[in-house]
Amino acid sequence: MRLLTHNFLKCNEENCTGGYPLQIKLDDTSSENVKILEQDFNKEFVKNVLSKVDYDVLYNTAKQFGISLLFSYTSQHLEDEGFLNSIHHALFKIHIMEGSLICPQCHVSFPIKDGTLIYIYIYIYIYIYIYF
Amino acid sequence: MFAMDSNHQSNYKLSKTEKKFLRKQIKARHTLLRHEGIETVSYATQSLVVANGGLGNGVSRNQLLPVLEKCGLVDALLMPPNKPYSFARYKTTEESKRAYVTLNGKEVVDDLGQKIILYLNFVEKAQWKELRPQALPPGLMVVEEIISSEEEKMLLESVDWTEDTDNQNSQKSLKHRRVKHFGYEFHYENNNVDKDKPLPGGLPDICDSFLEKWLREGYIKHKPDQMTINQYEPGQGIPAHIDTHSAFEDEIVSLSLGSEIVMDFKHPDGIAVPVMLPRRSLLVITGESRYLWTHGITCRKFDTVQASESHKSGIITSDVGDLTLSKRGLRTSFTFRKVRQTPCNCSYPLVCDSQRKETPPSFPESDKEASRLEQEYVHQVYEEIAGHFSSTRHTPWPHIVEFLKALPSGSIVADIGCGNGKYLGINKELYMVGCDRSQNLVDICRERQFQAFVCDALAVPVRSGSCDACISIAVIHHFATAERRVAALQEIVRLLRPGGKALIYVWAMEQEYNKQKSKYLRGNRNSQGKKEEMNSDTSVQRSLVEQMPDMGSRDSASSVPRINDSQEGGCNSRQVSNSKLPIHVNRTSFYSQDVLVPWHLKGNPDKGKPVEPFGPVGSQDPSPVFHRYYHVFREGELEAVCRTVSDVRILQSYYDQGNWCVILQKA
Repeated sequence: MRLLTHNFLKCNEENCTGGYPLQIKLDDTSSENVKILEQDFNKEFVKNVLSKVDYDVLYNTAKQFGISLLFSYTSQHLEDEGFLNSIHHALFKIHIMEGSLICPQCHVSFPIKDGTLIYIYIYIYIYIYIYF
Repeated sequence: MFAMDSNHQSNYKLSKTEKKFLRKQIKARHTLLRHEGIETVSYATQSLVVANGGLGNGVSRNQLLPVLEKCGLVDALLMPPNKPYSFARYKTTEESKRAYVTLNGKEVVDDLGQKIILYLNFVEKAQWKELRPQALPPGLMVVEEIISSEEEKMLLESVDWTEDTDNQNSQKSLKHRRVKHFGYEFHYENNNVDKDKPLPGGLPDICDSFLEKWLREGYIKHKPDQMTINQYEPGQGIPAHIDTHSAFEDEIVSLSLGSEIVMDFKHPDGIAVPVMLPRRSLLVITGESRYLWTHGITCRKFDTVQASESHKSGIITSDVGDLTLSKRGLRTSFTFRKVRQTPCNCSYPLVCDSQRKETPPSFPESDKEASRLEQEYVHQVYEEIAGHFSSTRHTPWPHIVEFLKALPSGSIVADIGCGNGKYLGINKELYMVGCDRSQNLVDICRERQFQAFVCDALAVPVRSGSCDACISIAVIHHFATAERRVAALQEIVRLLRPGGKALIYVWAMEQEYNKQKSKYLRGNRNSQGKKEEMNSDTSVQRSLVEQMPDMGSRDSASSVPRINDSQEGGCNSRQVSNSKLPIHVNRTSFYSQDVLVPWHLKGNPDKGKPVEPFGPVGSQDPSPVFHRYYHVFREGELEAVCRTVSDVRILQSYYDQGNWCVILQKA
């Protein structure tokens, strides 16, 4: 799962407000809990996507992965390829493979296994149990 | 090739092969660690874990042991069943070191003749925690050598497979076992017999003498009047199931011919017991094992059996020091049962179809019922049919492609109910994220390198107002109440930023519109259910209406609902409480808005994830049928749903090949 995707994810528990951003916890027992994968750089695409993300969240999340982005940017930076490349790297190339996302409010944890995130209403599981 | 310990310090550059090998070794080490909780150590010990050298990946004891013994005295070789690794303990550390150095990267050939490379790592001890019960399921008995080899030969030769027209399907696809019925016909749609229509001829005469003998000798207590012959090629099996309570009396017996096999019995608490059924043996299932435990045969070509007690009936031991693989042969079973004429009154009501009140699914009356209906008739089904379903969903629909291509570069787009990810890669200028309720379908998306996750469409874990656009193709019609359908739409609208657009497609009740039949209706009648209706080719008929459909043309458009005797509970489109959901006949018009639509599963069930059919009965069909719940929409209904959501404007509304479609925009 990319950090760009993480930027849009929030807790979906029924009465949870403020479940954004989700905390990323990597699985330490796994050696490949993060992967860096190549992705073609498309300047316009990166600029357009950047305008949609919550930049503060991106800044903090990138820090967790050892990437220090500019604390804030101006329209001048949008023409700076160096800056855009750093954004591109953070948003697109980092893939979380093994870990979990934890809601800062209700502390529910959603696992990420082999890059896939699983998010289901807990009460559905209860229904299954009763049905049997 | 020599083994490199990852801690090895060297001043020279590793060659490409060595690097590749080292990477693989590390990967094997960490895969083990992660999945199995096995800790490898970087110092030499007496014990080694042999990755890729396990029963689970086709390596047998008599292949592996000689290879290991070349390096020294093997104290023990432990081969856990179904695992792709084994543990070897040598007498001394010197010997195990020798094995580590010489055998790492060694190529061996497995039982199918495929090349396998072994990777060895040191471990402190061989450990895993699998407990197997030592008792057979209650009421189960296996009688060995109940017939002679000559009698076996005679019975096998007496079966004439050629005359069966019913078996055309299974002959076409070698994936399914062959079946023949005598006495009463067994219906796979409901896993029951038609008690009013006994088959002429009864049981073959040849069986009479055996049945009389077994009755006399006390192996069976009742004379059966129904027989099913099943033939299993290596690799074929039957999904876990309980024989329908209301169909057959307590005692069910099965004669195994031609080859031995391992049958798996499972208790609802999760206890699994593998039982060896030798050739010429009679399996007798009564009582708890008949009514409560499921039985099934895994689709595979090798069974894990006991090395020392091979060919003998009974439970396969949990003593992994004594396990090996046995190649399957062609097995034919003669299963004898006595048809019940009265409802079942067993002591296991939870799994009894006679005693369970709500077996046939009915129209849901509450949110809870709706959720359960969807769980059984949507989610569970898609998990099981994912692979086959994905293979019939390959052509993107032009209008949807058009919608996606018109979006500006850098748009964030969510595909709610993305299925196999058909639309996630259409426009590279978009950042598309898919979500689906089916884990198996999401796995397919990820295999295709798309961003997708598993979630419910009623609670999408995406922050509000963050999407430039959403699409939801053939999803909302799976929700079983109007409230849930509205809620699903509200979720989609919540995701949109102001000005964002959504494209929604739902299945239409009117499969004939403007006097033109949809592709679904026009599809080949012979291949009922073979290819689902929603395939389109590139030459889509432009019979759609771009603006709001003209109310005047309504009468000629929709097919007139007819009363159909076989459908209970009323078949007009109004929702009648407590009505059973009708089962739709594929490629015909809809007579009810809430229906169960059959899906005929073809081809091998998807890799490695044997999902048990929901509910106790399970499917015994060589080509199983799954029912999916749909609420098909009437003309104007989708728009009405959109209008109940605030801040939403309908931009476009049209009909596309049997679907009602809407493009809406958030204010």
